[in-house]
Amino acid sequence: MSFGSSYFTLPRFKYERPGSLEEALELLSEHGEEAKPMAGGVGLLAFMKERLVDAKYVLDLKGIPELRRLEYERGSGLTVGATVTLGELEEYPIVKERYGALYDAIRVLSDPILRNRSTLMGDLCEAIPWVDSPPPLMVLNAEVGVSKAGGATRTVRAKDFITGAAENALQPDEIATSIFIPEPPDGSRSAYLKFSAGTEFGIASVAGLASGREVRLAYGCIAAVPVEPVEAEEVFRGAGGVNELMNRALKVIDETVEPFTDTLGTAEYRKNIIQVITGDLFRRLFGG
Amino acid sequence: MEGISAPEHSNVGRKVPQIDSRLKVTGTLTYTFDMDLPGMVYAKIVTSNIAHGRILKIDTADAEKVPGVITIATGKDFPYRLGLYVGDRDILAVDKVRWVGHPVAAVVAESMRAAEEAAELVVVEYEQLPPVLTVEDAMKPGAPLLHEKLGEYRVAPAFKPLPGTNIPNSFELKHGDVEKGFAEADYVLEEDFALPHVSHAPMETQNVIAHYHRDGTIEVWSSVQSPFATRYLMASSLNIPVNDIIIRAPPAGGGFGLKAGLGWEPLAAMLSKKAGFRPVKLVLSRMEQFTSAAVREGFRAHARAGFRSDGRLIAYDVKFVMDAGGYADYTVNVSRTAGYSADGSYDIPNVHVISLAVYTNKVPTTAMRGFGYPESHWVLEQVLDHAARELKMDPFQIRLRNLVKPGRSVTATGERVRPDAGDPEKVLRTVVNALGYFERAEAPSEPWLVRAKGFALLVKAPSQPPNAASSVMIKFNEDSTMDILPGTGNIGQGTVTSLCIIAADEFGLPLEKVRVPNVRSTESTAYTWQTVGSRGLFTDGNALIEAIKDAKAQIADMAHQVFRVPVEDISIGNGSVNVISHPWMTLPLSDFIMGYTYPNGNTIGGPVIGRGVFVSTLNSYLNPDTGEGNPAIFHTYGGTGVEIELNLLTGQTRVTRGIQVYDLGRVINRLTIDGQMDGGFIMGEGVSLFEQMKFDEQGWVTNPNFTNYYVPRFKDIPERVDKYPIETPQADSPLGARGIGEHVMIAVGPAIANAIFNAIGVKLNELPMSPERVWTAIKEQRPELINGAMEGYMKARKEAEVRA
Repeated sequence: MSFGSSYFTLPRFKYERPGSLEEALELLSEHGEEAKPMAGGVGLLAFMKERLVDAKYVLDLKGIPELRRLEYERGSGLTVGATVTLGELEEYPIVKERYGALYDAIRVLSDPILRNRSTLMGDLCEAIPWVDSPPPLMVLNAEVGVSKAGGATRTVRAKDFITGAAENALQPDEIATSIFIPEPPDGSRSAYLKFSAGTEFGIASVAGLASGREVRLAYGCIAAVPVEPVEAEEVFRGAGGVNELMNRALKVIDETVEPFTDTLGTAEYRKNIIQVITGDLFRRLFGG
Repeated sequence: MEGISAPEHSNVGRKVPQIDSRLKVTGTLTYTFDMDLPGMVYAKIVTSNIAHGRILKIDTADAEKVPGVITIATGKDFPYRLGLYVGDRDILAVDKVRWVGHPVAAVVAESMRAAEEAAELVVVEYEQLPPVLTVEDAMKPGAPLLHEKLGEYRVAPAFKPLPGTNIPNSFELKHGDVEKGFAEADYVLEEDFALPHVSHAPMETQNVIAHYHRDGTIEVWSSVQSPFATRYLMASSLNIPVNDIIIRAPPAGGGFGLKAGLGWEPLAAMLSKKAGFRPVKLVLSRMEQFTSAAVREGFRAHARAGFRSDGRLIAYDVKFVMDAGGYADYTVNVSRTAGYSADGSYDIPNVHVISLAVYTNKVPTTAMRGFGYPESHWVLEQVLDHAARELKMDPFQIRLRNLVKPGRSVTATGERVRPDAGDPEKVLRTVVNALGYFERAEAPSEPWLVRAKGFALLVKAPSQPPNAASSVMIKFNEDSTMDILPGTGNIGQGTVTSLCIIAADEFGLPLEKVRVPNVRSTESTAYTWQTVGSRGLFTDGNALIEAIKDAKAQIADMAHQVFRVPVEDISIGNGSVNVISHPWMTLPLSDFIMGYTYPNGNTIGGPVIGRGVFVSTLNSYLNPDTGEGNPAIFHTYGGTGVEIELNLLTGQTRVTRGIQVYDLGRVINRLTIDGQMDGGFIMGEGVSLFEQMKFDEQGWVTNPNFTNYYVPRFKDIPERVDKYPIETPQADSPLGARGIGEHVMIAVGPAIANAIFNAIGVKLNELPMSPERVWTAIKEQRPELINGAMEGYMKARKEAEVRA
């Protein structure tokens, strides 16, 4: 049998820094699957090093002015360009005020130094089971804006964006340009909780948004793709006091959510943690 | 002349910043990692990706085509065997690979980039051999052998390999009659314990620059702890004269035992020769550090302990098995040390220990901070708490009943504990009082949280051969500044600053006039055996004191002629040379240190160079059959207390307060003491709660990075670690002081486990105490606690709703 070394180093690639979205999209359609867009590079370069992603060309999007967009319009929502860093979002007051689940996720996402380089879009596109951004973006009903050469654009709902472990809905010739997060309903509350131990990755995480009887939930770190416990969400539309509904929802979650076992934790332990963090989440959403 | 005198302005006991702190905090201290030499080229290793196999062919053709590649070496190029205690290592794999990550070949190229690129193009063909991944499998009769030639290896006298097996060291200790002890016992406890493989995780990974010169001299810059041991082992392994090798050791960015002994220096040196005598730099990536270099071994223990009903431990029978990985070069001494330290701080009349190192097809292992003692204490310090509960005693009483009594007790190796060894009882009482062990822990903020207190004691001696020697030179300069040239390395432990404090005080010089160079260089500094085992201050400090006496004698020899008084009438201190009987007769030190010049120009004496040595005259080898003998130059007794908060819902444990108590004889530098006690506590917390190298069923390390191998972050550190140095001086140590550099992490694990046991009666015999492991243990041993906590939790949520 033949083998190489047990280590890898970053392979050679050509670095491109397009100055406009059009230029980036042209480069992408020209090189096809051989080119990969890069925002912060935190995930992409590590994946390339581990030979999980093969890229002959890396298109650095940081030189494109329109992807730097960070805007909030009251009543409409928040637009986050593809190269806006997590650090910038953390410092943007409206995120903390109105988008609690997103803010919570950013605060537990690695550390301040890495947050100065990592982007929300990059985290979402990475799409491995342990990334933090998908659950909050799902419960906040976010949409991802996607462009391809020739000016065609489309939007993909955050809940449809992740299609498998480390797989997303983008075609090879598309670039995700922005995330739009609509204004959360007045009086609503959202939060995100992650439980981790002995690793930076979570053993389980949960995002929730409560707006009257409308409750949205999403789990991360427990399966190949984020899990939306629709049966549990349904419970809150039924009759009963909040406490009764919460307990019923927890029971439904215990019965319907099936976490995986990996090196970070067993399915049995994850089920326990899911109960605990969901309970904590409910306290945050419905507590005084 | 008088001997060592107390100076007027003493720095001893004060808080003195380390001599290199200013450079460190400004990021300008030069580590090996920072260095480049003219004409330097770069090496990259090619490693095995199977756990066990025979090398059939190594194809370097494609790799050689990469522009910039100078040479590619394989195991056949360097037919040498390396090792400190059991010479079981090859420079690059010869014939066989023994773990995933085993270096098989090395590429040297003009740039790091080219070396990396070429390394990936080397293709190795193997015949796969059945991997042996657990100690149980490795010890089965007929198990595949990792080292078929174990019987031919060079072995240091203290070790006993068993050729034809996977056991490179078998240590046995017999003290008293253990079976008789069990026959007399009222209660016998029997339990198993385990520790996982852990990484030293130094900030600076192992790295080296070697320059093989055309005249046969080898110049090496390396991030090492013990430059002289590195030099000697390299010379004896490569069969070249010792003084052909010069090891230069800049301050190392952390050592923790990883950088003791011999590392990557022989590979870099031989690559330098093969690359046409150009300097070669080899830097391990973090992943390589985790899987191609050595880590701390995995550990299993089976303990049987017999107690009388009054709590007296009268029979202790333990078996330790170390999962040593592919090479056990240093781990054989870990097994020996764990074996002879099995009795901890206690006087146990009947002890039997078997301690084995066992080869497996996993990452090789080596010394790590306190080695042997974290292992033996993880067992005994829990055995005592578990037994105390059965015997209706408390952990304080049972320890008090069994603690050694200096001057009276005899350890399991048959060594009488010297009267000035320290005050273990004062340590115990200080830990218990400081912790408020018998006061209730603060009430938790939520009903599913448990607050608890626990503690553990420890004792540790340097693990060194009885003939380990140290020396120090001191050298005066024209302006009466002084250079101290010790052999001990600087790995951030603070020894060199303490040496400066002692020397400055003895001559009455301001501290800034005394210096230890940052780079230790074997051809120009004094010899010391190794920088390990918390020995430096004791051994090199003693050598320094001899060197000071020697320098003072040289000065006094000049001064008594100048003053025309007997030599006994001269005293040196406070920066001057004085006549004791005529206090007005005094001259500045600077008049003597380059020789004394009379007004007419006649000169006597000459530049003052003091030399001092230290060897222990009290130590002996251990009897190979019974393990008895005198292995230790000093013992430091200590204890750690913790307050924890345990979440019953998740199993997560948070340390809220730490207590560190050590009888360190004399505080030389309070800042060093505090730093060691804080740092050791944090490292101890890391290996107790978080750290664990995980292996898959093919022997791959699945978490070779700091994302998934978690070392403590700021948020994990307790707000307070209260520190209590106790000063019971030892007569033959420098100013009475004893080392604590390793001790400070040893008892943290058992203290936390004891706190959990104390609060909820759940035993945690294996580290790390990760949330899932703790939760599972509670579920197995006290399931009602989890159910109760869940109910409390539901109730609290209901209250939250009412508030809403």
